[in-house]
Amino acid sequence: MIIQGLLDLIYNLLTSLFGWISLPALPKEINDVLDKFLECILGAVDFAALLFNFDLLKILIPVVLVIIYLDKVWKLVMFILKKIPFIDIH
Amino acid sequence: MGRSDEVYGADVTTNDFINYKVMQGQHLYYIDNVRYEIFSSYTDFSQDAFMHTFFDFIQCGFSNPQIIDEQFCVKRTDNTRLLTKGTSVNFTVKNMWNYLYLVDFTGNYSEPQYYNKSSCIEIGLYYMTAGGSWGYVKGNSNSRMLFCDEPEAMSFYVEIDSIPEDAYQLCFSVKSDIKTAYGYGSDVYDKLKNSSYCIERYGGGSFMTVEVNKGLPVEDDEVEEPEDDTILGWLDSLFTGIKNLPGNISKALKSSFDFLSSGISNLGNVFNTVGDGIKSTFSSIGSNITNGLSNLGTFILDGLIGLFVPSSDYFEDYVERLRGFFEAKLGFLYAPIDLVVEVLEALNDANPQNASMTFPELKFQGYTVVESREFSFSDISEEFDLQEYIYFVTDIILVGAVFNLFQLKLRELIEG
Repeated sequence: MIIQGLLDLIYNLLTSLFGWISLPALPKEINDVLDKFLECILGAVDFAALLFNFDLLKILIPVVLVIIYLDKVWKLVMFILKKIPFIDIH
Repeated sequence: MGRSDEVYGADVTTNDFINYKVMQGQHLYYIDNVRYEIFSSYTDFSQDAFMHTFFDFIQCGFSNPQIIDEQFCVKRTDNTRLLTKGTSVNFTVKNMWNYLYLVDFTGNYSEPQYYNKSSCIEIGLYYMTAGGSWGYVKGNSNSRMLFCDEPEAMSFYVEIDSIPEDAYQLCFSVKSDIKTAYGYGSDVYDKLKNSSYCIERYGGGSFMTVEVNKGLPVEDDEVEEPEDDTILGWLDSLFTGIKNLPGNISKALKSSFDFLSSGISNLGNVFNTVGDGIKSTFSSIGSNITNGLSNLGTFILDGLIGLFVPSSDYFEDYVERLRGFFEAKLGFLYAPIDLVVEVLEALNDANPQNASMTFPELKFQGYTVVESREFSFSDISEEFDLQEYIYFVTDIILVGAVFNLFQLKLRELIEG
């Protein structure tokens, strides 16, 4: 009930903030092109699933993201550690 | 009907088995391109066999080869005895043909019957005399036929109270145009047109008789001897009475002890009943208290969970509401977000079973030369168990690549 109430509050805030905006949708022709593009991608995904184990990929993708941004993660960790006085890291 | 050498058609191979043992028998086949008839007689039955299985295997070498096989079973149960002599004419047979499906029927029958559901069937039970005449035999009220849809099986159960003295053969005939399906050869579906099974009176004996005692022991069939009312008969009964006197006294004593012991046992049962009543009362009170406490605990726990955690459907609904709102309000700006969401969903639901390629049909002047055909790659990988090996290799490559990236990044960090 409590979490639900908070989420509903956020939803109401967002709807009241963006409620006045009303932008037009994409033209049908562009939408069709996008759909075709999406169809090709989805077909390719099924073919890729023949070669790659997607259960493993779902685990590896977050790991790869962490590794790619390892310097930033490293800086963040060090920043927090430096704030702790009795560890004495400079 | 004729003899076994009167076979019309082309190559015919037949084998008869009883309990998987090839038996000598007379065979008759009238075969043309669409019909055949079977006549088989068996004269040697094992007294102690649990079940006699008559198995006909017929292969006809027509232009369209047909293979038909059938089973004819006489089962023996605990209360069943097989007789091969005597004058009894009781005849009880359970018969089953596989791969037939029809209607339900219970009751008497004395001549071929026709039943319709998906097809037509004719069942006859008849006798033949040595002179060649024949007639239908009437089953009694226990006879019944059962046709089942589900297991595609048919069975019938026949009891005959009496048959003519000059009957030489008893025959079942089943005629149908229902498909029988067997997995041999290219043309495996054939129609059971006409088959008959006959059991022959042999060497002056009776027909093979299967008597089923419905819940009664076999001894109940013993015939009581008529009383002899002469003086010799009276003396005989007197001596018999004297001879049986010790046995009768012991029987009387035994029945008295049985009566006493049953009385004591009844008294014990009364005490047991009273004790059980008291025990069950206390046990019900205890179980009510335990259940009440358990229900209270569950109620408090559910209330606390419900206070903080929304139901699982709520989050799904919440996301859908947000998506719908932004799609309506942001219009074309929301299109890239929608695209990304759909791609992520596709990645999540990726299934190698759906990987297929459709070749379009080829048409020439309005006629289809080659029809469109879908080629599934997963069929190949499943056929040769390739999928596991492909995953094994690619898993190693992916994990190796991640480790390589990690050591490069680590070196970059350490070296500054």
